Amino acid sequence: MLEPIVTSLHFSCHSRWGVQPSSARVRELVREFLDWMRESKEWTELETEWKSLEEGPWSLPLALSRAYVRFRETQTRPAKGRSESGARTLLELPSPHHGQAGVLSDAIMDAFSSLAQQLPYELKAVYLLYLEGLLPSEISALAQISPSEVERRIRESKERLGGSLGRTGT
Amino acid sequence: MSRLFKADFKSRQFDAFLARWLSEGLSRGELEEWTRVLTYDSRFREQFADWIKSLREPGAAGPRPEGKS
Repeated sequence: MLEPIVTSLHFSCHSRWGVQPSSARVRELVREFLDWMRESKEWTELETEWKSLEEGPWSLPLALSRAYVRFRETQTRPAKGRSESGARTLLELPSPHHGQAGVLSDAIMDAFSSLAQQLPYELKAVYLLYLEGLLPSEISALAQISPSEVERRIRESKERLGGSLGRTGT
Repeated sequence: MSRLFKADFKSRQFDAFLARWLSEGLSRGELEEWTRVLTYDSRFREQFADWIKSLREPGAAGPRPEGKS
């Protein structure tokens, strides 16, 4: 059961960027995840949590996905002051300027997020989640607004920000 | 509720909140506060978005959002 969950959790953040873990790497991750769960006693916590969620059909995958998020934190340590977001990490494209690609990707993301803060509140949350890579259908489910309304707010945000960029001459 | 959002997204405190949200939904007030945190806390928003994306089916990535190469 763990291998498809770990494959999905590890792969889905990376599939957009063409990075695919090998089956050997997935098996290695599953082993490391299981070892970590035993050593950190996460197994006990997970079982308790699963039972408290009344062992519903989605409760074990949810508990496992949360445990995996905590496991991944033990695997990677971002440089001080750097975001540990998977999206930002994966924007570190190869560059002849060693170590600068990550700084640039952070700066790009920060610039767009700062620009989006100028939007009216009702547009801001939707557009910021869109910038973070969430699909309109996901934003619709999270915000409990219709998909067409999500699309409308994204479109309007782009129009407003496009106007702002035009005025600054960028 | 506000205290919950001061915790790290990865913390166990959020597991119960997320489970309740998925099973029962949130009240209007909770949803408004949740939206406010996602809007103004960039680190929290990043971590939350990464978690949502990690729950997708493999290969189910959608179109790239604006601003990403």
